[in-house]
Amino acid sequence: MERIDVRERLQKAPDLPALPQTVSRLLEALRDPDVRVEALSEEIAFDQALAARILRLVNSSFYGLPNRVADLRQAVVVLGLQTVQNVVLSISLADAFRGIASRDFPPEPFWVHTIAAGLVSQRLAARAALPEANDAFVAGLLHDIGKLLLLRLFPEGFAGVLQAARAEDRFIREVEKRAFTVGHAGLGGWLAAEWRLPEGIVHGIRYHHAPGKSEHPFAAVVHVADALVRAFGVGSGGTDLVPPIDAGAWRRLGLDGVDLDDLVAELHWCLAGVGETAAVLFDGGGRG
Amino acid sequence: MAGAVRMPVGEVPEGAVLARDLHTPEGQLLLRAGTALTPEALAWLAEKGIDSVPVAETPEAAAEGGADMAVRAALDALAPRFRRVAGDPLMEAIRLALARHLAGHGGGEGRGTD
Repeated sequence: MERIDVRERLQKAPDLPALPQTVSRLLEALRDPDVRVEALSEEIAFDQALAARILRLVNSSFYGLPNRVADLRQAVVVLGLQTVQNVVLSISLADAFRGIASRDFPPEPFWVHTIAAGLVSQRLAARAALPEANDAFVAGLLHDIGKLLLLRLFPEGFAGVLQAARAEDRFIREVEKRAFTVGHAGLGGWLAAEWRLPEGIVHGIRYHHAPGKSEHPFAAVVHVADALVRAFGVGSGGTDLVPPIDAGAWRRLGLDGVDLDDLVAELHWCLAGVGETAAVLFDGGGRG
Repeated sequence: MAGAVRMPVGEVPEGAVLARDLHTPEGQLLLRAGTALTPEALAWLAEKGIDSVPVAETPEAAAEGGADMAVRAALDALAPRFRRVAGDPLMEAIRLALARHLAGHGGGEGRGTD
């Protein structure tokens, strides 16, 4: 089988999603704890649709207060600042890829998987006392974005990869090598670099299947987060298989000797609101 | 039941959690028990005219119990997902921890073992 030259296609037709301005603005602002609240409130107040979705989330049964919350500041208090910023980043990034889906690769399980990977990445980065845990969330959220790009650029080729992976009980990364010159991790890393996202995010995406190849700890963070989220069975990245965790990556995050019962309980807690968060991504258009 | 202490809003320490649901004097629910009392939350409550809040003393330890049967059933249920990593020691340990968690055994039970 002849492989599809991904680079050639990218050069010919770079009709790719642009980095949403909200994301670049927020990533910058969130580095400064003093402007965090203000930057988020401004962003939400500026965007009525975003505000409506934040209120819908806080009024969902998961957070369910008996009386409806209509006050954005109360919503921020109830949800917590961290959750609100993650939701704003998720909504903005998912919107950039709206409409890229197929029957074999539906958007909801995909985003549930990636939001979960973002949350676990953020948690693992914080546990390992790595700086820029917010960036770790984005790295996890975008780690499989290359799959959406492959689907968009080569719908038939990607459908073939999915079919073969499922039929042969293999990982997508194993099968895509036969069909494409660049796999989903490399392609996603390429887009993140095009978008001029911070180096940690680029490495987290590009090397999430080969963490030993990167100097940046986010490669280990996203690699481990992806496997753990699959172990929990939250969402779907295209197949239901749990991949092995690289021992070097595990060690690098200080997880050698960790009490796994405690880690599982901690992550379970951290994943509790994923379904509700993903549900607001699909509110209000794009799927009708 | 975990203990609760009523504290003035201005004296709530960092990391504290609301012990009980909090209502306005008119009976409207403001925040659920378990909400983190962050500086933003406290400032907002102060604006709402709340001067003191019930703060949780210690989180309750997870109850221990259940039978090994439940863990075994959970391990079996997880096996299909873990089929490509069967025999990998770390992944098997993760599967066991997940099974124990699903069966209600996990989280803190093994604390202090080494």
